[in-house]
Amino acid sequence: MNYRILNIDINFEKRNEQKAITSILVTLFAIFCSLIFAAIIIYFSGAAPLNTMLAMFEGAFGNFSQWKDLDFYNLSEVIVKTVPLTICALGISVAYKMRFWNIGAEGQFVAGALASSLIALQFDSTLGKIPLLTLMFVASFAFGAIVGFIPAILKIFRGVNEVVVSLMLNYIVILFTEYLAFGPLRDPKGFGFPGTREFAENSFLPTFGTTRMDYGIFIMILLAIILWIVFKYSKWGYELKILGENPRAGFCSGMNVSKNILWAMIISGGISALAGFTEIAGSSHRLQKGLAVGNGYSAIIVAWISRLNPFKILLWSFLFSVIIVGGDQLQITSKLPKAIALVIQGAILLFILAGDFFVTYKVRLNFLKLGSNLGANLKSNLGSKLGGVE
Amino acid sequence: MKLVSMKNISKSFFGNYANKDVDFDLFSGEIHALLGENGAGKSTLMNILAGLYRADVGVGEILINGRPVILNSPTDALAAGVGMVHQHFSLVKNFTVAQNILLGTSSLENVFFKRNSEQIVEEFSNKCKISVNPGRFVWQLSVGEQEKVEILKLLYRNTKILILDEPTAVLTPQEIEELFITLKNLVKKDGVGVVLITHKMKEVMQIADRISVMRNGKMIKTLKRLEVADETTLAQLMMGQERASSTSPARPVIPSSFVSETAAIILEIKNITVKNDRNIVAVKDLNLTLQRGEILGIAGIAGNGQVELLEAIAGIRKVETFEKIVLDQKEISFLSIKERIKLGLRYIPADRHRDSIVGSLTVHDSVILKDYHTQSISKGPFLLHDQIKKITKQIFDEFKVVGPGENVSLGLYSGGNQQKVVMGRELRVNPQVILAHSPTRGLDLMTTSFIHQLFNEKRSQGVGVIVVSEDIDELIDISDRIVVISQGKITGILNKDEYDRVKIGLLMTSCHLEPPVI
Repeated sequence: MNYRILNIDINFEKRNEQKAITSILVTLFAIFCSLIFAAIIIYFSGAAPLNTMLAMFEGAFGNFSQWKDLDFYNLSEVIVKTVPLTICALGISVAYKMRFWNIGAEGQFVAGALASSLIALQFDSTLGKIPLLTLMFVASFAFGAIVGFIPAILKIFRGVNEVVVSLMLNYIVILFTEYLAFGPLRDPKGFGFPGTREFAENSFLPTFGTTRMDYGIFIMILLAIILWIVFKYSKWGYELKILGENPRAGFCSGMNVSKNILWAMIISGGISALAGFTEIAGSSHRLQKGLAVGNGYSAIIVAWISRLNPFKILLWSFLFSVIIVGGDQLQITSKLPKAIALVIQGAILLFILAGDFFVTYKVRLNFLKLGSNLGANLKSNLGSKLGGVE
Repeated sequence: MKLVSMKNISKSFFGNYANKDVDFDLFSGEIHALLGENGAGKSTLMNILAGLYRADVGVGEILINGRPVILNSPTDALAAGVGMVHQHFSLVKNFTVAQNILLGTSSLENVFFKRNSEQIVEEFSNKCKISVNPGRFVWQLSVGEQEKVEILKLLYRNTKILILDEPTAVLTPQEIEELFITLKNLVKKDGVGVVLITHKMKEVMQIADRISVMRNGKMIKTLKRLEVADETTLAQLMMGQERASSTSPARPVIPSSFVSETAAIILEIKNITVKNDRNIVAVKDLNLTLQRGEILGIAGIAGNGQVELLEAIAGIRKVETFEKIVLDQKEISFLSIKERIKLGLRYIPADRHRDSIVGSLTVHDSVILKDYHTQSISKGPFLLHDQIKKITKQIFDEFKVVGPGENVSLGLYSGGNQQKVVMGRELRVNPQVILAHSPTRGLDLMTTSFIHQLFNEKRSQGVGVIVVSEDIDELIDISDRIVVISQGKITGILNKDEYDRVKIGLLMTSCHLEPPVI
């Protein structure tokens, strides 16, 4: 590609190899740009940008006096938010690896929460801790897998667009779960509170000290490691990658496209649903309205920005949680809407995608000597005009 | 009256001439057929006339109705009265026939008020004597009907010079007949001329008033149809004089052990029928046998069932009916693609980027594409990355692949090197049968002869090779036997001593379907 603006020749060349350092620099610059962008928005909302941002930072990480007392409450809140987001993004990344657009993580997450709750309601007084948690874990995975299975099977046999199906399933699953929470599963002693009773301790994941951080972190890290190995070293990961990049070539080489779609979605849905399990067993301990706060959708952005790399997903989920938790702080200190946090998230995505161009292309500027072509044109134009006057 | 006169037209792409000093003219009231092999430069010439390409600057000129014109875009060409119907139609599928015809030429009211638009088009089509149903949606129409809509669309834009690019390639015999009647009616009108780009000689003899034959970007001859004795004359003009004796390197003799044994036949296909993507029968009751140590050439014009045949053998395409497909005395018709690959059936498709490599990923990923599950590359559920690197290196050395590096995506390699990677992948594993479709298309001479040499090597090892190509010279050079295919049927089998370009050319274009009934 070649463009010219005035006397500058701009040349875009595709890079042979994409260097890690370029991509890191571009990413940092994109984050910087989105912060500037956020500052401008904050400024026009009538608050002081720098102070607001510091408040956000404090909201997410705490301040000096808290650190001195070894109080990491804020950070632990960030981690609590990171776990479901990461697990959903990891789940999504399996389907995205083969370019199967699963938009249904939100619904799969809720399906997992529902499954865990049903098991807990039924068995929390009869089963011991470990069998109960195992059963909840397996049931969550199974429910999520079923929700993931539906768009896959429709795609395979009827060619139905998976985006539409997986998105619509979110509403079905979420509303059905809310119906259960409001109706059949409602706690009769709950004074009209829409939700189940609190489950017995048996169903709780252990937490770290007094914080709300639970052992879901281990599930998250373990999943990330497993997926990293699967993507990088396994035959199945290779198949997913090939079918994502060129399904026809994969098919012609003997890969079974339908089988792969099916398994990718079963596993994708199952993993996303595990986030529902950690949510129920780790922190909420009851099924109630308002469980779905958009993790499944944010996870799409996270998976995309991370280029489906499980470890990058961990990092980005953490960063996004920082912004969300910090955003909560905004509302308290600066009376700014919490949605500012979402604006920053969106801005980061856009800046990263824009910056991507510079990772794949090399830009060359070539300053031409003024007067060669441009000058000649001007002169001839001028000349003809003058001639006309005479 | 002379409608068009193109003089001294040249067109080069990156230094290669697609047209060189071509003269062409068109009179009103005539159907002028432009005949030539694939790549002869017919479409390029007409694309210049239609304003899609610009002829090389400085030489040549185009006169329309006696006046010199400069055609910089299809809009310019339409304004000058030139319209072209391309092989891929430019119709809006979700619009009605009437809307498609009026779009861009009439006020929006006329386009979108159903009654208005349909009335206008109805009247116009009656005037032109081309019957269409204005109220139907384009997606409801057959290809033949769409062709008529395209023609009507151009006529509505006041086109006097109508160019049709291979219109009959996608039509059924009945539709072809109907199209020809339409065209004959059309040129009766004052000041209208039709150019028909084609390579089917039978149709040319049936409909054309004059015939221009092109070869290798040059205009060979223009003659009146009545002057042409028979199709052989045209075939000779189209294919050129028979080339001097084959220049291919001396071949190794096949070890007699392969020939004498009863298992000399490595692949046997009996009575297979295969449909194409448009669900029309592309290969009809075809029989084929391939010997060990034989290179079998399949000649034919593109789109006569070659792709479908190879894909059916490879297991990629469903076979409608068959008696048997036997590979090395083993019935394979029920086996999956993967199982056929395991038996040593290796298919090299024509469309590399679509079917056989993953351009966006590294060379390693494409190298193991068919064999990633085998013992040597994987262990349990995991891939052996060291092994993959070793194999890649081996292919690079053995098959002389040169490129920007192993970790660079394969799409950035040159076409020849991509093809060498594919060849390396398929030949490395000791195949039984190689199915290669246009394996050297677009490659330079060096790479081409290297690939031919590889086929010869495999042949001497007793491998059966099927090469499909549109380049007759290539087939004459390398094959032990040539099968000519036309409209999904074998029209001739030639042994080495019977090779004759003109004869092959005639067989390639011979139609053997019953004449259409109207």
